[in-house]
Amino acid sequence: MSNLDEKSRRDLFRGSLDVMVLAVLADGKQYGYSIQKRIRAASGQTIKAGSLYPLLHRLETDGLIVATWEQDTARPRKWYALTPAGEKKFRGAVADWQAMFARMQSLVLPALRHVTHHPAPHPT
Amino acid sequence: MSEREFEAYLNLLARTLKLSDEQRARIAGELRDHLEERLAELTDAGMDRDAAVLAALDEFGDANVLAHDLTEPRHRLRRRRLMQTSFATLAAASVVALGFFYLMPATTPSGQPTLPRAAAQAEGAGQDPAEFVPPVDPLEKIISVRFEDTPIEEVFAHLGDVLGLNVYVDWGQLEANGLAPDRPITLDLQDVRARTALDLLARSGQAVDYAIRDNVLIVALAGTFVTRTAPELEVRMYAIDGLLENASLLYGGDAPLPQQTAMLLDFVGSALGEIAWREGESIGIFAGVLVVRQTPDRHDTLVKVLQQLERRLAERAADERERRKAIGQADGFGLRPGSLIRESGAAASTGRGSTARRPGAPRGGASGFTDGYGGGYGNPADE
Repeated sequence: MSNLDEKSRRDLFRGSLDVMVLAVLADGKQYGYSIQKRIRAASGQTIKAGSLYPLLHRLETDGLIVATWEQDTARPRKWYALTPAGEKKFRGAVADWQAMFARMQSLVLPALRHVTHHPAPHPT
Repeated sequence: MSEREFEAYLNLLARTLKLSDEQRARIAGELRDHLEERLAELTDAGMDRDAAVLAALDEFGDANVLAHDLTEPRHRLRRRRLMQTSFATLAAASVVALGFFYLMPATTPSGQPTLPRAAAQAEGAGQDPAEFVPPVDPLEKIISVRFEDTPIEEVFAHLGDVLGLNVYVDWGQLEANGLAPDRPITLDLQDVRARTALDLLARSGQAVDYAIRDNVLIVALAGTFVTRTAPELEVRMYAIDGLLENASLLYGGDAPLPQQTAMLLDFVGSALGEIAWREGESIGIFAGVLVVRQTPDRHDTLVKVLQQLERRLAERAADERERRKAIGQADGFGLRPGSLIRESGAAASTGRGSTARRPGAPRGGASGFTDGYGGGYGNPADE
């Protein structure tokens, strides 16, 4: 990842956040802090709390995730889980992502071989 | 330390959240849980407690920005719901309006029944004064609204959207008197006049009053506007002798002048029909001058009505001239576009105001008077 400039890297991360959150929740219910930790562990990047909670609330408003409050702990805790609509959205996003990845590969891999075997001629 | 810092941050955030108390408490609870967890993790990793508090808070970023970002999804959802309601209402209103047009009898200038108006309009057929659409008093519009714990600030903004008005709320004064923009409003009204909705809203806001001035819905502290229930009535005079001369064009035929005066009055009255006439308000024609006792807002509406009417009659007079020329009749229509409506006048309370009558213009006589006229003209307005 270090070859991309900082901005591109952040854009890529930001663009994938919705899917990452849905992916984490596909595994079972989680609360905000645990979602943040899971994403950090998987991607090596931190989604700031200031971005995570608005994102969670947006997904909740859109009906993709649903929240429940756990009251019998020291501190009340809000847990999130995927809704059927969220599952569908997640599967669709993954399919899109795979299709895009396949198209990228078909473009990039042959080009990579070309670059490797035939270095660009020097202008004379 | 953590308690104080966290609470200060969460309080600041909660104050900025334009949501109900319950929603704010829930959001603060969720964020507090996160902050405490993060703090524990950082101190476990050996970070100094004060530094850990700052680091944890730093990850949340600016409280104002976060409050906005957290509020947005809920407001978006609410807007979506409100839009659905408004569109449903609009659709229902269209259906009602169409039905109304089809049921209304319509006559040609010669008195023959003609196509229903909606159909006539659809075919672009002509000059029927009935086509003329009177400006609607925004407060008389029929609307449906559903607010559930919606901040009052948004409620006003939404009503402004629905009524096509700009909105200005004097928050400086209102907040000083204990009405915050985020006061939650719950109001569910189906098919009511906008006036009713605003009256109820003003009541729930307690110290609030509203008025419409020049397309701006102004909301301010009660007592700011002199009296909304009994606004100051003004007598204004409009020189309409030109319109009067051609009032026959409204319904056709060569009726005698008194009858034409009555027709014009009838027409202007019905064009203003969206406006409910209340006690003390009156309209009459005297010697070629339309004398109206109304509130300033409604005078403004009347000017628009008269201008539209003037344009319509000017067009029709031109057509009529062409027609008469074609069949070799004398040109009996002296209507000159753009020169007819001259509002003259003045609040009755000043006792002034000229009639701005064109010298030598035909007089309508007293026959067109409506009741209430005598009580209004030349007398001071209610004070």
